Amino acid sequence: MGIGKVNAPGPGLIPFGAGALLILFSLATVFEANSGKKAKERYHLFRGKRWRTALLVLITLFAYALVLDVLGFIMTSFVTLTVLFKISERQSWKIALGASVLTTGFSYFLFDYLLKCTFPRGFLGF
Amino acid sequence: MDLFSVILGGFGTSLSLANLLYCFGGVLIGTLIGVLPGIGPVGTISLLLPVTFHLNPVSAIIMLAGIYYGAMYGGSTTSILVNIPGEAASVITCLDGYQMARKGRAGAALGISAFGSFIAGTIGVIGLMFLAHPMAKFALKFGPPEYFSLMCLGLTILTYLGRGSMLKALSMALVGLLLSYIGIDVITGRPRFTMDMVTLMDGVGLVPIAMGIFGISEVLINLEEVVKRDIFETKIKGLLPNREEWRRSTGPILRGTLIGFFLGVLPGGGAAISSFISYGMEKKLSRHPQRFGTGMIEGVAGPESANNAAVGGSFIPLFTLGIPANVVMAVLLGALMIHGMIPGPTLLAEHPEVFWGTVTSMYLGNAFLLLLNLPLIGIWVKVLKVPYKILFPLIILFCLIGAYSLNNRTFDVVIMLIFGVAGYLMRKFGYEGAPLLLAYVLGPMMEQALRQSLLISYGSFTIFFTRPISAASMGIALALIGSYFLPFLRKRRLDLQEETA
Repeated sequence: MGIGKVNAPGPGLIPFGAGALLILFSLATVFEANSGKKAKERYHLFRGKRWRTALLVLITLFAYALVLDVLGFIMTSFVTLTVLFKISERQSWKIALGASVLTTGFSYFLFDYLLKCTFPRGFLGF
Repeated sequence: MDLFSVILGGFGTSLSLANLLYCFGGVLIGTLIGVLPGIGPVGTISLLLPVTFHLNPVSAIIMLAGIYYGAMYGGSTTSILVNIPGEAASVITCLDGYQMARKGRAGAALGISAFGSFIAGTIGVIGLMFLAHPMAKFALKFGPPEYFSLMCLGLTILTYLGRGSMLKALSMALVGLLLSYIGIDVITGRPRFTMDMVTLMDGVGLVPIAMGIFGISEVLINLEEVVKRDIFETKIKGLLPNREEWRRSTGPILRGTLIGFFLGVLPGGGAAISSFISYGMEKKLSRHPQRFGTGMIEGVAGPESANNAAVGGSFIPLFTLGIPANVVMAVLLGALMIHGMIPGPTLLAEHPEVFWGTVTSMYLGNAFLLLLNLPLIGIWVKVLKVPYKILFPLIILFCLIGAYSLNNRTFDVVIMLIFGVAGYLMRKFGYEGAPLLLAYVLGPMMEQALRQSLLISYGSFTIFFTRPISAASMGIALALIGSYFLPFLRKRRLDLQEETA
């Protein structure tokens, strides 16, 4: 798309400038991280954290986005919520299922019925 | 039109039953999300943006603004009672607020932060009223070069005042700029960076980005932490601070208000930063600086006032220049544009009801908040006790719904999730989300201003340095960036950060 001439700036001008500066700053960041006393202070970003939980939640959410249009809002949200309620800590099935039913029902009522957002209906028709 | 009659007109708008309800709803939601960890005002406002589509613009802005200053009140409650800040602007309140609670003065701490917030919020709104008109008149003289320079200055100040590495913050701002150019180029109408995807033609969207970086990633980070939140089990009694405490708080409240208001007006400033600076100042002025951190009421009153006054201040650049001073304002700017208003000097003249309606609703909102936060504090303490494992699926579901209902398509959900992952990694590696989002919003405006300026000047960049206002802003921006690369000045900045940290 071209950066154009200085007296006729084209659509690529700012993206080019911003990109060039970004490269510069990235190099500076790499340099900064590897020089001086700071370089020795390495610390672990994932040790001691329950990053597996975070990862599981993420996978669930991407799955949600994938099947939303196929299964419809009610089914997808119910399953996703049950998984989420179960994921973080040992929660009994009773509570997890109950909470999911309540939440799905409430949000469907609030957003679809009251606020008129139209949610996708799945192949099952709801 | 004199000031008095327009204010009266504003109250006419904000006092209508519907708007009163939206104002109340806004501050209620604001307090709630302020109390709850894991979601802040940015996430919530972007979440509720689609819901406001069918409202009239005044009601929408009244409600969204209410969420912002409501969160300031709510955030302090968790800081004081649980030692976990509900959102960034009340981080500093933890230091002395929690200690006060442990010493049995939880009531007084909550009380002074609510009263301080009320006083500061009200003064902030008054300041907003009186400054807006002159500012808007002044801003009418601004041309593209001035706008471009001011936006550069805003981004620079934001990165300068941010925590952590300025290099990283600047990089984030650039990423935000690049993201904002995805879609159709406004001047030539050509698609850029769309990878031939039709869905990317109108850009990636502010709401999915904001919810990803400020909603989803926050949840992910919180899920990792193995924290036990013990709520301070005490009967909260005596919400009224005693005479001695009032005497000690008056100065901090007034100083906090001033600091907050002016930092709020400053592009790139905002509530969080002003609360840190107010705390640092009270500590410097105090005769017993060593006792800060052990439950000094000054350390609660000052910052809590500052963050509320900043809210009023930060509306000034938004309403008069059309430049958002911070991330929340950036999202509000998005809201205004969705409702077909162009924020800027002409807004006051063309849509006075939006401006004055919002401003006067903030008086009412502050009064609602005082009522919500003092007599009803018990309810919020109960809300605090809701365990996170129950809470986070709800936050996530609301984010999913919010992203979907934006355009009724799954694509936005995916975008939000991608930015959720990005935000999660950014937090891990010490990159802030605020510069990215602000730059994303400013991006198109900056580009237009730059290209128009270059057209005016026949391609000479000196145009930014020959006009006084533009030259001053550019000069300050360059000086701030330069100071980062000069070792002795850089050390000073780190010292400042350590002092306030």
